[in-house]
Amino acid sequence: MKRKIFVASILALASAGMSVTAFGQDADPVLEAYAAAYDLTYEEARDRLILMDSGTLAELHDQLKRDPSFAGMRIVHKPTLKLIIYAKGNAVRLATKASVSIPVEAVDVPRSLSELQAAAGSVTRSLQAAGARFEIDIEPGTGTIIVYTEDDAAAKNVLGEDTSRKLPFLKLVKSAKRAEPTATFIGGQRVLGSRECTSGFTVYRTSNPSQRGVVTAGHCGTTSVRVNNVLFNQPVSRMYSGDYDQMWFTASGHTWTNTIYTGQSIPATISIQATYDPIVGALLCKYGRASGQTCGEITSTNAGVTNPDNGTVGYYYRVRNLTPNQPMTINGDSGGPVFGTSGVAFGIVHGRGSGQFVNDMYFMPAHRFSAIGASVLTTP
Amino acid sequence: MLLAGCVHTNTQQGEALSLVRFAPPPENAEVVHLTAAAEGGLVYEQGCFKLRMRGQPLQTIIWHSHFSLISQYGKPGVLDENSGESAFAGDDIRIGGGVVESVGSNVENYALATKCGAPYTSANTLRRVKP
Repeated sequence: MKRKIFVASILALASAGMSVTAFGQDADPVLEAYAAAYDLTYEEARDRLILMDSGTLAELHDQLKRDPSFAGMRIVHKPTLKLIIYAKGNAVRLATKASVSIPVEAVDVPRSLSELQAAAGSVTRSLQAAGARFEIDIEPGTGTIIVYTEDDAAAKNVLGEDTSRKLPFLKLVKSAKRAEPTATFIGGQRVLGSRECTSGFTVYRTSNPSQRGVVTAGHCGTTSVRVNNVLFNQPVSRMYSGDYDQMWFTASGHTWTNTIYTGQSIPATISIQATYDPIVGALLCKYGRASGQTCGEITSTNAGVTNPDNGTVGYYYRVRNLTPNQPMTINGDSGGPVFGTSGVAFGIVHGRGSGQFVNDMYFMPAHRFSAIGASVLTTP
Repeated sequence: MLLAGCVHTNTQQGEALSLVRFAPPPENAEVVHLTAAAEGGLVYEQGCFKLRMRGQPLQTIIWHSHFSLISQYGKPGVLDENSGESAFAGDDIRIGGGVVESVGSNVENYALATKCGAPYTSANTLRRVKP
């Protein structure tokens, strides 16, 4: 998004006949990185970014992927800048639809994207069911699926000879034991699994405080999720029924902080110092990846709500937005931190209301983390 | 009303269609709508609406009770009766809800839900991302 805005501003300046560098844009980190990576001058990098308008390319991708023969597209930066469009069959036909400012090359490939995705989905389900650790890549340019796994023999065994015969374009590659990159965890980061959510707080195993992890809502997934782009295969513990909507994940080798995003520019983060059980009338804020920071007032600490998704009734805390007629939470915020002044953790986002409570939020109080053996981290 | 005049509800000629939905909550109950998001392509196969998400297996969508089945030029779709938003098979959509671990008496047409198969995901709101 940042680059898109920046490119748009360059275009506006260029169309007005103004010098870009005269406006002090030299410090743009994307331009600098691009110029350095591809051995370009600053001006060459700037001109290329203008040509590669991300909005235009995204629209083209959306348009082309509706064609059943579409296999993929990618920008190639070296030796010359061009856009390659892959398709099963007549790739030239798709390439003629590309109204872009950079040269386009059409490449015929043996399989369409939908064929590769269907095959990859089948392989993924088989390997997941067997509990294998793997990563899977689709290579549209060669029409292949590559599975990287620490134990290729075991993966081959799981998939069986039948799969090998049916999917001759599937390659198993033995990879070294994957070391996830060290990451720094802050409450309020994106959670991606079968749903999109927000992480809550850094927590620790109550029985072993040295083991730290991240908590989010239980309805965000059942098995693996990515938080802050780090893959977690299984929750340590998960509860999603009645009064409980929570799960937590842990991994070693990362930096776990007792901070959360606030959704403000200053301060962007705050340290969590304590956990309290709030009362009706208490003022609080929540942070969610979808709606950012919203603030409200607790109207009930004992709201019995029906959850049609699992057919249970649970008791949650209800919050009314301080800004009238604005939703306190929207889709994508689930699991996000709910906090009070002075760095107090109150709980995590459960959902929104309906009817007269349509703009209200329900959250699960942090003291219920004890049921999954976790406590909020309140020290660095 | 956001729908064009050519949209029909409930059935297609010659084929009885139904939607996999949660049973309506008890009258006057305070109801929570979960706010985990999911985005992907809306797929219709063998009487089931499914969500095709990047990097995920196809998920059977269980709609909340304020959704109904519609069709347009023979293409099946769903209508959110609360918001008036609709989407049809092939559309890219964004839905709110959460994972659904199992189906039971809280689902209206249990037989169809089980036929559609796991994994399940719920939809309490619907937004069409791209037509």
